[in-house]
Amino acid sequence: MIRYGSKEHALSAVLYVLVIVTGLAFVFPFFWMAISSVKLNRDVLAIPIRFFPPVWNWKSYVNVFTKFPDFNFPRYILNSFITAIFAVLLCLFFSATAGYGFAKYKFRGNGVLFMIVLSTLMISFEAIVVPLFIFVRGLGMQNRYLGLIIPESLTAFGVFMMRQFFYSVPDDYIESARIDGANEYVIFAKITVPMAQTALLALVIFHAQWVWNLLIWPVILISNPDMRVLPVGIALFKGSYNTPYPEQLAVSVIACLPLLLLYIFLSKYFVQGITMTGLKG
Amino acid sequence: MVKRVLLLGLALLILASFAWATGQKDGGKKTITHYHWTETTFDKINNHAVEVFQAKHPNVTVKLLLLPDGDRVKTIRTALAANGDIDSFALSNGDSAEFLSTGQAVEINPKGFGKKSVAEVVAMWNPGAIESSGGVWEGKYYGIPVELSNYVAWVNIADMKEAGLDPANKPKTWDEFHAMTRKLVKEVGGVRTRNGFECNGKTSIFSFLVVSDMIQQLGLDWGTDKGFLASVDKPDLLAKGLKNYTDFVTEKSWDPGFSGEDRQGFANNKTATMLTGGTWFWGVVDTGSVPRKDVNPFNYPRFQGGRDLGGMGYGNCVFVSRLAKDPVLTFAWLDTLASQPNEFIKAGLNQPRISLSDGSQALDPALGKQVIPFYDEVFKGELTKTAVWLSSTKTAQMMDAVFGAVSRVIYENLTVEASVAQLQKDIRSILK
Amino acid sequence: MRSASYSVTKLQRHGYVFILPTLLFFAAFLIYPMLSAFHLSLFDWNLLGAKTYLGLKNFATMVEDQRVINSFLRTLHFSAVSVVAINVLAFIFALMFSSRLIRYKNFFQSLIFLPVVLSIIACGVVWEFMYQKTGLISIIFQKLFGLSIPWLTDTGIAPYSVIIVFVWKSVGYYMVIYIAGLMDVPASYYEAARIDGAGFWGQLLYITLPSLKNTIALAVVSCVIFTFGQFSIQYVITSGGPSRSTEILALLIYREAFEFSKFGYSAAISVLFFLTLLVFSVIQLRIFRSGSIGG
Repeated sequence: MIRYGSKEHALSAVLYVLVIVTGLAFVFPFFWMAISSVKLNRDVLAIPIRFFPPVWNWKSYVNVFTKFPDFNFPRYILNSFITAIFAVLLCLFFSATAGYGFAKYKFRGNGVLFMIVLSTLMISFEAIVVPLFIFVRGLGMQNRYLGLIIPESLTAFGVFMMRQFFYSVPDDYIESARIDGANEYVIFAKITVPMAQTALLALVIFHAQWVWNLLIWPVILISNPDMRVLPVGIALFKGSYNTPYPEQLAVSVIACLPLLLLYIFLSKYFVQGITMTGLKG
Repeated sequence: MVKRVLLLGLALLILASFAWATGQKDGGKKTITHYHWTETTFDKINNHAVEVFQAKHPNVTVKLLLLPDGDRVKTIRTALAANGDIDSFALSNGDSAEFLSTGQAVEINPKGFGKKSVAEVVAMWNPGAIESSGGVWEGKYYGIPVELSNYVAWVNIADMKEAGLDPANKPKTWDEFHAMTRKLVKEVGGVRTRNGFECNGKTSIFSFLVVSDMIQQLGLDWGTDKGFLASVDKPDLLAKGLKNYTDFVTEKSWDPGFSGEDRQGFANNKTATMLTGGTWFWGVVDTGSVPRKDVNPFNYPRFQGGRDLGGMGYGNCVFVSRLAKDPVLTFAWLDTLASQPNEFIKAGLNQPRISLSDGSQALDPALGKQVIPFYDEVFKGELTKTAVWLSSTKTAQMMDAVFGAVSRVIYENLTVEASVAQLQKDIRSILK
Repeated sequence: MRSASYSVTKLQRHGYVFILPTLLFFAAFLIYPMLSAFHLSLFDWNLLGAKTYLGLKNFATMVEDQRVINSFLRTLHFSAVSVVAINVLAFIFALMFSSRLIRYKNFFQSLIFLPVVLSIIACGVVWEFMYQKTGLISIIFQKLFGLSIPWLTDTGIAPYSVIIVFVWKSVGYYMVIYIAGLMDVPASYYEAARIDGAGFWGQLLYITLPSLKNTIALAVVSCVIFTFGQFSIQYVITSGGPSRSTEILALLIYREAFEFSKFGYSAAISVLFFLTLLVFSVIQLRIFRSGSIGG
């Protein structure tokens, strides 16, 4: 249906060039990181800069797991997975239920309570880290998964997003289900939540990315090396005096992969999800 | 589908929390949790101490937490504040004042060493070692030294030869040192490929230690709060010391934009000289591209007419925390931890222990010369003439103020005098 | 049949049940520590010793403290420039990367989104390398423009170097939001405009932008909030330097607490942070007032 005239062809070509150049520019630092992870340490630091490794050092990836007995990266990856999966699931639970509650029910204090929830976005996390640590420790959750999972599952942004979405869900579905005699919770679980699938997936990506890369909370909470999560492992790895750069970069590349895969897998749902949250207007 | 996943997740969460609630108890074993710093060559030796101790005390498990320098103090502080699981910890002499003055450590208990009095324990270490490594507060002994080192100057003699300088002729004064670093700058086609000198430009501690050394060589006392405050009344000397450091940048021996990590930089020939390394630095050199034969440590330069002080002296002590479940046992652990000075000196770390608790010799005095290049020529002598790191509860703030003074000159092009004026204000307000 | 008003009220009360778990957890793990931190701002505490009551003295000191003022201004600058850059670029990219004139849109969009999923420490290492005099960026600039720019050692330039990294890392996220917004503008609007003779710019100004009002509102408001609290980039790349030129408020809050052990003072600065963000958000929500945001 779209007829491409020669003007359109020219425009298309120009656009392709712009898009490719911009795309490459954005991805370039990642390329550099990946390619430097297979150089030798002295080649990473060499002047003049060489983009391609004169000597390919694939061993750096092996070294990460074998040469540093103080750093148990497989364990850190496992810890990160456990924390991220549960934190994201819990976040979905909080965001969906609260978002639904705020959007679909007119109760006294709705506006005020929502504002209070939203105000938690304005807290600098660094400021609450110490009181939170003392509190969590008091609950016996230091060095435990729950101590990481619960605080990391809380984000007002998720509540905000789901509330936006549920606003755009027509009340008719809900009303007709009520007339049919279904109770509120069944309606929520069986009707509204399935409709929210793509919005929830979008929230998964947003939140998973934050939890997976979060450093400041685990650093304070976890003193047991076996309970460390990946960003902490990487930061400590970088902080040791003699850590060679290829290994540092190798572990950083490894750290990106799960999120990358998650994003690629979910990306088509992602854009749909944002559309359906009615966020665009 | 999503709903089922949610339900499954919730179920798993509930299961997980049951698992947590029922928890695991350690099966009747005592545990000692010790916080230490990490350095690959030393970690092996420390882990061996764990094995030795656990073999002697089969019902005790030692958890050795190895943390990078930058995070160690913060982690220890948070653990103590939250009454966490911390039986013993290692602190440098710059950090210990804050902890000792607030009662975080327990006085040395001679029973842990099988001795009858604190004096007997102290006698097992070099005289003055516990003081110099930060283990003493208000006359009482708390710390067991595990390191006593000093900074010396380092130069790459291959670079010297390349610049036409005689490697046997090391600079003795700061003026000579500055002249040498200017000559050691290397440029290829107008682009710098090597600094003549560099120091870590991002964290405050390193520039503080070098500047403080220079200031102390000029006769001021930067080892105590009182001395520091008094020094603020002598802006001329402060300016002279500060300028001696910032001149490296002003005179272009050091281009911070080119490189600014002195240890790695020196080990990879991004800089020809360095001022922040001790005996342990030989281990770092081995990880870089510069061969050992090109590396020469030498005495810290002095000011003409200034005090005969070498580089900054620093040490690390291990302490028993006030939260230790069994202080005597924990001191016994620290005793074991500090019982391998010969292993450590081979790895380049000096532990100032004379005798072990069973009476045998600790550090073999002849060993240093054998395993550490230039030990007799440089390190041993300079160790007796070190400058003093600041012992204060406000060390971090003072170091930051000095770093600010340096940064103002290097990055904001302020004059040294103007920067010192601001430094005076900062110090007075910190120490008031 | 129950009376209408009775069932309405009883029904609406279910709302409380739905929000209860979230409120409970937020109250315990976010609001309580926040209030605790605010309370702490009235004291002088180094975490290990006793707390000394100071009343409002921390605030009095703070108002005159050059370092806090510097941080505050740096944060405003960083946020303003970043938010504008991110949103303008995200919008342009959204137009580019969802244009009907190119194929494989998803793939190209993923390239822009990639930096979003990278860990900040990895980004810090990479960009620090690239910004050095011998780093890639410096070399490119030298070859292309003959300029030798001190990216990380000039107090005027370093803030922008950091902004570049932050924008690079964030733009993909907002681009996707704008793409979704664009997709939702009915094609009929554009048809009508074309019939009326509007060209590319005309369509952009009179159709696209007005339809995106809510998207822009969401993007800008959340961008301001996230940018204001940004801490990791500066911490990893410049550590607040050179000479405090990139020491933004969140970093200062961290530093005063965890490096200088002035937990009370740090809490006071965090109160300033909170109030500022609150004021900004209220202002923005007023400006962008629309039915679906803020209810």
